This record gives sequence, structure tokens and C-alpha cells, in this order.
Amino acid sequence: MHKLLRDKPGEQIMLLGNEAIARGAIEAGVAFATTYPGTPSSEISLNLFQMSQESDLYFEYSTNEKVALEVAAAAANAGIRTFCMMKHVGLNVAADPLMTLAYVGVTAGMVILTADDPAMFSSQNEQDNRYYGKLSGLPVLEPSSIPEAKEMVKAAFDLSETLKEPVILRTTTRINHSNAFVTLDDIRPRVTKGRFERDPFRCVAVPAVSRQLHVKLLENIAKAKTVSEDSPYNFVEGQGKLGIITNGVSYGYAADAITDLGIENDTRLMRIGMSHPMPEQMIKEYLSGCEKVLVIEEGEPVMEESVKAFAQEAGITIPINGKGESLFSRLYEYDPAMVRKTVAGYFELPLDTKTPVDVSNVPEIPQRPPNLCSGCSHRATFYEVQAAAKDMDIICPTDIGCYTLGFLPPLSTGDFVICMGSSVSSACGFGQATDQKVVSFIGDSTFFHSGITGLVNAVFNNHNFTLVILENDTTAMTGHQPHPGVDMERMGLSGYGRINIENLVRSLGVEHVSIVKPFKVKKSIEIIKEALEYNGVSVIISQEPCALYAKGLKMLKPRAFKVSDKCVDHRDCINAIACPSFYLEDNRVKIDADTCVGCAVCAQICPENAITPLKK
Amino acid sequence: MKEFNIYITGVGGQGIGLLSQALLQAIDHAGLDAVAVDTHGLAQRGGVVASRIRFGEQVYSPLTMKHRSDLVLAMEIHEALRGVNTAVKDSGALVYLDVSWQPLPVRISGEKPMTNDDISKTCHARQVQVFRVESHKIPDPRMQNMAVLGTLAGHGLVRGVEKNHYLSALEAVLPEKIREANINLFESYMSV
Repeated sequence: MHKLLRDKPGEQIMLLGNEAIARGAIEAGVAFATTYPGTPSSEISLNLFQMSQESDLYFEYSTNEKVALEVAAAAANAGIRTFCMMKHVGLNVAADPLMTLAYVGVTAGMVILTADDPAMFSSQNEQDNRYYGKLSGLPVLEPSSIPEAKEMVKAAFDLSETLKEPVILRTTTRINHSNAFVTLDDIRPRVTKGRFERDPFRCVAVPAVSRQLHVKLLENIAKAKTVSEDSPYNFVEGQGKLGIITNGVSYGYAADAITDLGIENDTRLMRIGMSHPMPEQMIKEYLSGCEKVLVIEEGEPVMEESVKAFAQEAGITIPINGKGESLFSRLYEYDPAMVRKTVAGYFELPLDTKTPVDVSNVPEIPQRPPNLCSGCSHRATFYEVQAAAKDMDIICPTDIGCYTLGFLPPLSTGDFVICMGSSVSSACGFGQATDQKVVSFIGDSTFFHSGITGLVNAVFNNHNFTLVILENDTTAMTGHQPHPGVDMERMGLSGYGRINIENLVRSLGVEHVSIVKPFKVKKSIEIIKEALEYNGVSVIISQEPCALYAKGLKMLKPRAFKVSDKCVDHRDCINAIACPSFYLEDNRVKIDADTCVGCAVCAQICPENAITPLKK
Repeated sequence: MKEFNIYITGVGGQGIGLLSQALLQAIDHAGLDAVAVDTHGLAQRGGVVASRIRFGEQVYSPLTMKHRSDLVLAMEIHEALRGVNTAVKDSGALVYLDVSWQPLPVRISGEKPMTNDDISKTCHARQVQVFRVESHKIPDPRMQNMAVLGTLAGHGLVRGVEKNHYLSALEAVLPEKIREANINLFESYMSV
């Protein structure tokens, strides 16, 4: 049995933040869950996916976040507790349904989880999704610890049913990816089938209806505000005069700083766990007991601006600061040392300044940028496209996935990325606005997510570029989730459809479609050359399963290669493709037999044919 | 104990996650209340990964201040030195596996790779105790993390965590298929 399905109330188990959130959903009786995977949220859905295979929970990997939220919105309006989760930028994709779903509301509990990524460990931006609470009018809850994350999921469902509105649960990477011990509680029975009761003057958002629904939304925000005033998730610790207002993961840093500086008796800490709507009265009363207030929140000054406005209304003139010079930044994530230093500086406290550790004599350590894996087919495709386009002036829009890493030397393939699907639509623009040859790249999962509409646009408006679809049979970067082109039977799962990318592309009216097998280097270069010469929209589908995924499914048996005595040290291999299995020893190129999977791409580009299978 | 901080580092794909899970379980089995944080996502693709584990009486956040780690575990030479540079406190301890996964700038831009010698010099200057785990003696590279765990357990480097705690943690986190071989290797390093 999946460990998160265990019906053992009181048992303590170690969980990853994302597992605790998935368990919270199970304890809340969630019966319907949808997602598009994205770090740092991915393990929540992965666990729900696994649990759905051994229970009556309905779970789907939806095509993208907009689809996920719309599927979920229907279930929650059919009376089923529904959970929809995504990374922060996913909520941009789902922003359209979000804004009007807030008007329409739900009849059963619905929680929308957004996993923000301060410092951008795995994201293209570090936007602060608390603003979506303000923008949509929906309540926002933010946990500070793993046990609290589990509890908050359940509280969010109850709140959603009280207000008949979706509730946003906002986490950040350090909550999603922390581990801690969590106590299991009872599992509420799942209600897996509902009934939709027609209610067109609530559910059909035409102007006349929406004018009324907006009134209802504002009334709901007022109700949510009274909930926030009494919420156990907004609390004060300490009775000192030095005010610290904080939220989420910063609460831990603030608590560490207070202990470290020994100022428990001087501080009054307010932890905001329900951050939209803010508990206005509670904050005004809190401020009246403080001499000076520091707001500690990663990202944007969301709480700081509210607190300042409340102070102004209450005629409170004490200093209230958060972001600013020698204070906190809007950039990146915080850490305990930075918080401690800023707290000490702001409240003019002596900072115990031990002599800093001397690391001046340590040699410069080379940086280690992330790198495509050994045997990754993307490396081969990028090499082949560059070889085929050798004398061309090319622009290479790329997209969101492992293959974004192709922009780094030595492959240096990737010139423009803004969001999921942008490779295709931006190729339309570059092709029209310049005389350069445009070759863009998109992964198979990303193509289904939001590349198709761009390609429809390209065919209709008769654009001119080559699109390379990297078909590796999985959503690799987020941890090998399926997508609509995947053969689910390979994973031992039945009852799924499957969409063939080549047929889809041809049916859209793309006239020049070719398939390459990227581990056949010469042949691939020839095919790519021909596609690049085509005037109009051409699509190349590069087919080779992700090496990690294939190894995991035992479809790939690694067969290592070696550099033989024939090598004359041209280093074409290492300089052109830089597979991580290459290393230098005594200034000669070697191949690490433990990591080489035997894709043989290097063997095909070595002018001496010096790279050969390692015979055991 | 006020706090005990552990920093675990290596290259994405080296099994840092399992090492940190096992250690966290062992700490729990010893009756200590710990928090931890890992790296997931894009950085795992051949980049630096780091896990942190903290426990003690007054520990809230899983992140640790610079140069406050009592113990650094590293699965690779360059990352061992980086961990010493950023995390370990003076007079702390380092357990590292002596394999080198050369970073890209070493392989294509001629930057100088780090050596065991660099590590011992740096650690000596800061009175950091060094435990080198020799990779060529480990029969199966997939069990390297067990050798590192066995070494730290054998030297009792995590205060309050005993042999039986590690063993029960490994029973809990290792999949059955590989359990026996991994535990045998762990025990052989434990008694070295």
C-alpha cells in the first residue's frame, strides 16, 4: 500500500513537504485531482498519481494548467472535493479560468496549489503568486513548516466550502522540498461521484450574470476577512516592542534569528499564515504595541504594503520597513544568516561577530553548471542541427525543459525562451521580422502543453521556420511524468489514449514533416539539411527516449565505449558535445565506463574512429 | 545540544537523496527531532546538489548559516572542497568520496581540477577532520553512498546516533531488492 494511504492515525512518518501536502489532500477526502507537473510542485502530483492506481481517487495529468484548472472547476461544481496543483508560472497559464472561477465559485471544496520558486532553482522567473490572491479575490494560505502544510490543506478545503470559493495554497521551494516528521490523522471518506445541479445564473458567466457574481465575490472577500481575523494561522508570539511580521518559510529564519540573538523577550513576532485577505484589525492592534516593525517576506512587499496602509488608517506612525537598502531584497530566497544580520541591523542590536572563516588560501573551484545527461538524445539533435546549419545565420528559439540546457557551451543552441510554448510562436515572429533562418526547439510534453496553437498559427499565417520537436516519450525534467503522446502500457497502465505527434502535425497542414533518429548522426544531418532548405513551415520530429527514463524501464541496457589507442587528441568529441562521461586524465580524453550508456554519438564524430565499444 | 548541522553535497545523479533520507531516518530513530531540505528539478541534471539536515533544541529552519555545519558529507572531490569552503565550521568534519566528476570548465576550458591534496591542505589549515573514502575499493559504484554513511557511522560523527539507528534506518529506506548488499557494505565500512 502507498505509504500516504496508510489509515494509521497518530503514526509519525518522515515526509517530504510535497508528500505531506498529498497526504493532507487524502486526509481531506480529496476525490479528484488534476495537474500539469512543474518543479517545485511535482512530487505532490506524482504521489497522487501513484495513489490513484490503488484507490478510487481520480487523478489526471492534464495537458496544461489551464486545462487542469477547468477540469477541476467542473468536478468542484459537481460536488466533489477537488485539488489542482501547479508551479507558480503554471498559474499564469491557468489565470484565465482562475479569474472567472472566482466569480462562479464552487459547490464542494476546491484547493489550487501554487508552488513558487524564489531564487529560481528550476524556473524562468520568481514571480510572487500571492498577487493572484489579490487579483482574483480568492483567499491565500501559506504554510511555514511541513506538518503545517498538511494541516493547511485540510483547513483550505474547509474554508473553500465555507465560502463556496476555491482557496489558493501557496508554497515555496523550501517548503515543498524539506523533510520533517508528520503525524498522520484520520482519512475522510472520499465522495467520488457527484451531481451537477443546473444553476445558470451562477455558472454561466455572461455580462449580466457576472455583474451579480462580482458583487457576490466582494461579499465573499469580506467574509474571508473575518475568517482571517480569527484564523489560528495568523498568530503573535512574544510581547516585546520590536515587531517582526513574517510568513511562510521566512518564519523559520526569523525564529532562528530571534533565538540566535537572544531577543525572545524583546520581540513581538506576527506570523501570517492566511495572507489574503490580511487580518486588518489584528494587525492594527498588534502595531499599537510595537515601537518599530520589520516585515520579513521573500519576494514582493505584499504584506509590507498592506501593513503600512493599515498603520496609516489607524494613525500609527512607527517605522515599518521590509524591502530597501540595507534591509531585505525583492530578489531570490532568504537564508538564516541574512535574516539574522538584517534583524540585528534594523533593531540596532550587537551582532556576535566572530572572526569570519578564512578561505582565502583555497584554490578557485571550477563552477559546475547543470548539464544534459550522458546518452541524452537532445545533445545529439543539437549537434546535428548545428552541423546542418553550419553556414547559415540562424536564430534558435527554444523552450522549457531539460533541453533548455542546450544553450550552454559547447552546444550553444538556444537563443530565446520566455515561457512554455514560446518556441513555436516566437519562431513565427522572428521568421517574419528578420531574414535569418529560424530553427526552434520544443519537447514533446511542452508541444502538447502549448506548442500546438503556435503551430496552427504558423500554418494559417504562412510563417517560415523549422520546428524541431524533441520526442523523448516523457516529461523528463520534472521527473518522468506521462504526456498525451506516451505509451502508458509501457508503464503497465491501461485505459489511456495516445496521440501520434507526426499524425497531429500533418493534420494541422504542415507540408514538410520529417523524422530523425538522432543517434544516427550522418543520416540525421542530411534529413535536417533538407528540412532547413524548405521555404515555409517544416517540422522535424527527433525520436529517442530519454536515457534516464529508458534505463528506469529497462528499455536501455548501457554498453560503455572507450577511447582507443587510435586517438590523436583532436578532442572533437569533448569540444563539440561535452558529454559528462568524458574526463581528462594526464591530458588525454577518457570515457567513464560507469556512466556511458553507449549512444555512440561521439564514436560517429571522431575523425580517427578512435571511440569503440568497451569489450568486457 | 543547541544545534547539530549536516551538509550533504555532490553531483546530481549520485544518490545524495537516499543518503540524506537514510541519515535523517537514523537521526529520528535516535530520538532526535530533525528538519531537512533537498534539491530537486533542473539542478539535478549534472549540477551541484545539496541537502541539509539540522537537529537540536532550538532549530526552526532547515537551512544552515554559512560555516556553521558540524559535518560535511560529499560524494565528489570538487563538491567536497566547495562544501568545506561554504558550509563546514572550523574544527568540523568532512567525509568525502574521492571520485572526480570533472566540471565542464575543466573539460573544455582548461580550468584546473581539484585534487585530494587541495582538500587535505584546506582542511588542515582550518582544523577540519578529514575522512577520505576510497572509491576504487567499493565493488559497485551504486553503493558509494553506503560507504560514506558507513564511514561516518563507524567514527560516530553524528552525536547521539548509534549503529543500530543507522541499521534500522537502512531497513526502512532501502528497497528490498538491494537491501542486503547495501547493508553488508555499510557494515564493512562501519567496522573499518
